[in-house]
Amino acid sequence: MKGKWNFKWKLDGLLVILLVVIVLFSVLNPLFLSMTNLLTILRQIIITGVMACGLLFVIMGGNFDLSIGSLLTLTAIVCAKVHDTNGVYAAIGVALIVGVAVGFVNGILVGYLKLNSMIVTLSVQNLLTVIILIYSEGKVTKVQTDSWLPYLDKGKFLFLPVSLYIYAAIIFWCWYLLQKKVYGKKIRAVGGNSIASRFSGVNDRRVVLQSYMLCGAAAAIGGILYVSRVMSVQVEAGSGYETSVLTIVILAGVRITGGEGKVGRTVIAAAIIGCLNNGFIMIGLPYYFQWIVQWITIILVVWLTTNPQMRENMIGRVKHAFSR
Amino acid sequence: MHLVADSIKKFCKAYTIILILIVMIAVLGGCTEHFLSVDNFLNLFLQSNLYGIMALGVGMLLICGYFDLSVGMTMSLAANIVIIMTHYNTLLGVALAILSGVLVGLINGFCVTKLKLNSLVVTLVAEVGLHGVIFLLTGAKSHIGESYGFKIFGSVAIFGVSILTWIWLLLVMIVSFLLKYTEHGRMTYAIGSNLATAVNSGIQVDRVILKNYVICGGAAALAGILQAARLNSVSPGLGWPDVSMDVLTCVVLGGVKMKGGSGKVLHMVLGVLAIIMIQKGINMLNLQSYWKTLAMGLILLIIIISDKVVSKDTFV
Repeated sequence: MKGKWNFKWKLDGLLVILLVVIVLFSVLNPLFLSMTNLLTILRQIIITGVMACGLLFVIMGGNFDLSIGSLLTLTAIVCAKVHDTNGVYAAIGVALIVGVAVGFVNGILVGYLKLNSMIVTLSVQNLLTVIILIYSEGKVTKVQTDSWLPYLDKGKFLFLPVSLYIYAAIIFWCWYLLQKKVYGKKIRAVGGNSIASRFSGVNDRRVVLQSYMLCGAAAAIGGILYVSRVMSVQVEAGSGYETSVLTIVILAGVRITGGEGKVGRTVIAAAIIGCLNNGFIMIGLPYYFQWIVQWITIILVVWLTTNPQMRENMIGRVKHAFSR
Repeated sequence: MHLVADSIKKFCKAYTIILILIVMIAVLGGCTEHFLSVDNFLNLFLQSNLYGIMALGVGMLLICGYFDLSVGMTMSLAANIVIIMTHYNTLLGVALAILSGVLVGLINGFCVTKLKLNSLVVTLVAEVGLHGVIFLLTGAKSHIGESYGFKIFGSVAIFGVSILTWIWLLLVMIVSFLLKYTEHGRMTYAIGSNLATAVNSGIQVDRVILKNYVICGGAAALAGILQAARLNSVSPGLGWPDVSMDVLTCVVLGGVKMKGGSGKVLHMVLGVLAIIMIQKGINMLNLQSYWKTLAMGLILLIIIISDKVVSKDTFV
């Protein structure tokens, strides 16, 4: 331990950050800790949190998905439209199918053709924007018929929103998939070293494809929850979600080169980002402040998590300078 | 026979962009009435100079194998600074705008070279962050330029061609000279084609990449200043969210490989012209504007897929 800063990105560290953020904002604005505001934050966290669970798989496989923002909008619009014509079960089903299908296309392009995942998903995002514009005719899509869909967000079970239970179920399932099933080991192997994983008999292409399909499904669930919360979808509804979800996943200490990641940290990171976004508005800072915070957070955390050797050298040098 | 076929293949491979341009001019000339006029082409060059100048910087970076997706916001930041500064001192504003571009380039370059982060991630989040900085700076309001001289500068024409186009052509010449005949240019190609070899042959890789990031930021800032001069007004939403991707598409369409190590400035210029021609053509054919987005997305996707197929990578 002597002279070595044995710093690890751990769950407790993130919890401390969360606590600091909450204390800071509640000192600056006492209303931050009011029940209504906490429930608002919780509802905001749930959508980004679900999407972060999906993106977690993709990033653990060593890839990126920047199309989830547009995918959220698309699935939300599909959900709202099908809801009015075919009922709520069909709406949820079709939205999920659309999400998985887009994930499938991304997965084929990245997993099987081995294209640069960032560039590919950015151009898929462009294409999705066009599909959204054509499908919604540029108008706001509203849910007009009545069903239990809004109950997902507004309904309460044991004092907590129903969507929270959905989120909890998804978290548990992701944790189970990553920690207890073979798939979790496979995706760690692929993210860590895809060639080595192939030589040891893992079908790395299929694993990447599956991770993208999971991410698409997560974005679709996000879209469904979005509709149940707002009951109307704008064309631009999901813009910005991709970077805020990326911020969450990176803040959770998921290595962007792949191979490492934990679901629990993603939840805490989602809570931190949710509190930050809400808190900035509560203390009177403009909404665009969060973009600057995202910039700084991502750079800082990626640096802290990806280069342990260099980080230690740098920190060691600083300590050395101070000790003299 | 093989020789002829081979040379045709070679020609097609080297001059794909020229063939694309010829086909597009023929199609658009046939489909629309006023496409084949001198005015239209002058206009085309004028509209191209925004993407064109940014493409020079992005191209230089891509040749050495690195990306910059923050050029759109760098451009926008410079344009906003210059327009706001016309209320006080225009020349100082121009200097500050260029400085802001250089600073963004330095930050990106520092993150990529010293902190060893992935260039795509760094510049993507820089784009988001700079968007926030622009909103913070402008107070989320549009501004109109106050300086008469600056406004006139944007509409000066020499020999019937706008001064902005002349500046672009001058920059094209400078950059192609830089890439072809200077040490820096050769190092750029060397780094792009094989990083390990470049390091082992004693090239100070970090410094070259940092320089390229600074050049890229500076070029984007210059494009922003010229855009501000042309419009004499600016909104904080300028360049969001498509410009960076469009510029990257231009550069890639101009034959710069994603892996780096190859690419010609002249081809990049033709790539820009082709993209602007597509966008203009969609306008002239009275199509909805989202067809532009569709076209840009599809072009980029098709190019990178075909690159992968042609280069016969083993899909490892």
